[in-house]
Amino acid sequence: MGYAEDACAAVIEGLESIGLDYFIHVPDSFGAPVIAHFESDPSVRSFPVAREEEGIGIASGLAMTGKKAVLFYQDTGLGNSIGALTTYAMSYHSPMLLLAIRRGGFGEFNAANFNFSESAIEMVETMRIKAFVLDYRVPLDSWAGAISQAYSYALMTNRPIVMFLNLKE
Amino acid sequence: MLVSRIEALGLISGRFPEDPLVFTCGATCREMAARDRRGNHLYVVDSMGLVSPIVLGLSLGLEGRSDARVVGVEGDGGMLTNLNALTTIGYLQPANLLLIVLDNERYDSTGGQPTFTTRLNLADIAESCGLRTWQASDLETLDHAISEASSAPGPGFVHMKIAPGNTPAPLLLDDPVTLGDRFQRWLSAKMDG
Repeated sequence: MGYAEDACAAVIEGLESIGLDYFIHVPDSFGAPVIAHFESDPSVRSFPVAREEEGIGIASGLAMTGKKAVLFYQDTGLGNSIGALTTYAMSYHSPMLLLAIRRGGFGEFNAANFNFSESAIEMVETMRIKAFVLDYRVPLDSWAGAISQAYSYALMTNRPIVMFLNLKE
Repeated sequence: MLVSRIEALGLISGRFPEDPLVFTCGATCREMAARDRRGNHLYVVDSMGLVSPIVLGLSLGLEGRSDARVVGVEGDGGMLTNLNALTTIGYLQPANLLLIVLDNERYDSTGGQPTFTTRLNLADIAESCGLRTWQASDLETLDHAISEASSAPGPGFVHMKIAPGNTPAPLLLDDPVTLGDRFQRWLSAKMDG
C-alpha cells in the first residue's frame, strides 16, 4: 500500500484499540477510507454531523453518559467549532478526542484550504487546547499507539485534545 | 395573553423532576436557576446553539439504559443559531429526546433585537426535519403538550410563543466546571440507580 493507505490503516487501528462506541464525522476526501471503515463496522455507531460544532456538543453529551466517542473532521473545520470547544468543552472540562485531518502541508492541492490549515495548530495552541501532530515525521507504526494514548490523555485530564493528522502522500 | 419565560420554565422544571434538563444561555439559565434550581439541570451559560447537540449526545448515550426523557430548553435565538442540529436529530431519530423552544421573537438577553421567528415558524422547520411537533400558547397547553410529547416516541419538539422581556434574576456566576460537575453527579446516580 502507499503512504495514504497505510496512514488511514494506522488511524483505524488506533481508533479500534480505544473500543469506540461512536464515530462522529464530517466528510473529508483524505480520510474517506477511515469514514467508510467505521460506517460499515456494526460494533461502532457512526454518523455524520452537518457542522463541526454540533459534534462537540454531541461528544460532550455522550461523554457524560460514559460512552466513548471521537470526532473526525478537517482541520479547517476547527474554525467552525473553536467557540464550542472553548466555551463548552474546555469550560465544562468535557473530555473528547478530535482528529483533525490536515488540509495544508505537504501534498495539499487546494489553494484556499491551506490558508487556514497552516495556522490551525498555532490557533488551537493559542486557545490553550492541547494538540499533537501525526505526519511524515512520526513513523506510521507509532500512530495507533499515539491515538490511543491521546484518547486516554483526554479522559484522564478532563479536556478536549486535538490530534492533527496529515494523511496525504 | 402570552406567559413570561420564567412562568414557562417553572412549569417545565416541575414536569421533569427526574429527567435531565439542559438550559440555553443568557436569561433562560439565570431565570431557571433563580426560580427552581435542581440537580438535574445543566446550565449552559454560553455556547449559544449548543443545547440541541448536547441533548442529542445525552439521548444517544442513555438509549436503552434509562427511561429518562432528555429535555433541552432552547430559545428562538439559540435554535436559529444552530438550525442544522434539527437535521441531525431528524436523521438519527432519538426516541427519548424532547426540545422545548420558548419563542419570544427576540434576542432578549442582548437587548431585544428581533429574530427570524417574526416571520418563520420553528415548529414547521422542525417537522420538516422529522421531529414530532406540538404548539403551546399558555401554561395549560404547554402542560398538555409536554404530557403528549413525553408519552410519544420522539424526537419531540414543543414550540411555545412567550412574552418578550426578562425577569430580573442574579447573574449565574458559578464556574462552568461546577455546573457540569453537579449535573454529572446527578446523572451518574440516575444511571446507577
